[in-house]
Amino acid sequence: MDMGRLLILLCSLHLVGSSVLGQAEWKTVSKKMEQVFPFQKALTLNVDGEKAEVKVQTWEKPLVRVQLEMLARHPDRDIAARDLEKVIFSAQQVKNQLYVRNYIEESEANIKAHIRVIYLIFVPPTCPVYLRNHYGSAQVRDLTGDLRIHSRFSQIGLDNICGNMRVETIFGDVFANDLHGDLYLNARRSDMILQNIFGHVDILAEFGVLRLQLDDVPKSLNLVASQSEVYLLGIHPWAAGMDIQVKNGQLDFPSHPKIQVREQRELGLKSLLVPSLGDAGSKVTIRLNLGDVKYLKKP
Amino acid sequence: MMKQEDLKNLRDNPRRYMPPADLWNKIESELDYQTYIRPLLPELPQHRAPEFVWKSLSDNFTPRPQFLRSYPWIPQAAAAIFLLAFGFGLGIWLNPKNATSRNGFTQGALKNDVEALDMQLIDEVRMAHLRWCTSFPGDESCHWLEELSSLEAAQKKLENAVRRAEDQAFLRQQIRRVELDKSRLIRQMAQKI
Repeated sequence: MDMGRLLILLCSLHLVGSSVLGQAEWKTVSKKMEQVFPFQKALTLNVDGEKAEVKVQTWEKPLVRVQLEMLARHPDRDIAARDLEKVIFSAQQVKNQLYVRNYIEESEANIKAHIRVIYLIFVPPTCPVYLRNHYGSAQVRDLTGDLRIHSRFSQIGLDNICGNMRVETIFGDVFANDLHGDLYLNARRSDMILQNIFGHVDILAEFGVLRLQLDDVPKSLNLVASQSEVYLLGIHPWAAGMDIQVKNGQLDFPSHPKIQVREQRELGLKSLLVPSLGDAGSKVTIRLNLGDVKYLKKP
Repeated sequence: MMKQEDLKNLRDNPRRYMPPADLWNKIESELDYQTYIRPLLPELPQHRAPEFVWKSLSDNFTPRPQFLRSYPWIPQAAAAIFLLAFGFGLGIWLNPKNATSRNGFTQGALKNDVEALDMQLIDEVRMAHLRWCTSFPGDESCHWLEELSSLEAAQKKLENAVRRAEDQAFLRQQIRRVELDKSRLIRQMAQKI
């Protein structure tokens, strides 16, 4: 064997060896539990999660069922098991409030394993829900009661919600579909996709990419944003009344013989006023500073 | 007879009249208030203002409110507070860092608080991934940390360039895009924590 072939063989062995050693086998330790609470008319569900994937669904039974799975992943099973013990779960009812909570006993630095807590919660549709979550996700669907979400580093998914919603999020994307209730959304450093929104919608956004589908015109939409990119998607750009003002940015809207974007260069302001066909007044109001608004017309 | 030279001497050296040496001391001692002037004061004639003068002053005088007479420091304190508030407001107004905020929708002080919170949260995520990267070299955490560093470096370069550039709109758009990418990366990193 000549020297060149030997070198190639040695290099190949080194690569294979290092990749095998680098991919340490992950061990997962888990713990499951379940609790059921009777539902009374005024009961509110409060979920306070940390590193939790929370799914809230509805059913017709007059019960609230909380299913929980806690997982810890680490190449060393003992470390995973030890860290899992540091995750504390509690569920208790105090008068009309049901508190479901998990938290980690020690500081982040002392946790070596990758922790994940998965909730699956079933509630009657009318049950109001207050959800607070850090580092995880929240999926809520088919709710007719009020919904409040306060999240940080958590993805939020909303589907077919008829109750009123109040969502505050930092570093968490929002995906929403079929929102029939009124929505207040305060999002910072979060992207969002909202489609099929029907109620009154108020959005405050900063540092985000917003995609708002306007096929079905909401009762009203007020958006105040800065440092953001806003995409409006729809078939009929002139169907809803629109009052759009963009400062220090771009405003792209499909061309119309009578309605055009006006520009005041000295103020760095671009504005568009589309008269409302139906009820008096504009339904969609957008104020954006340092950002772009673009209407993407569906073919 | 006077000679021409004597006349010339008289012209060039006229007679000088100097005050006597003790004159200034004498004036000073006679102006001494305690010794000479004060004893004279009782001897000065006294003229009292007629009664109607005091009455007319009293009629035209608008008294201070009762509480101000009881607490004379209140107007002074109010003036001090007003001056402080005015100065503080002026300081914020003149601070060039807040110029963008004034033009935008967010107030300066509030904006700084929110930005500080952002930095804190970004550092929280960064620290968590640093621990992961140290424990498991070659993990995707290390790759994300590199990406975050390069985004921050790019942002800093753009911010430096925007101060010198004439056409700032394009650069500001690029800074915004970098910020949006950074936010997206942080959200992705946070999902692993």
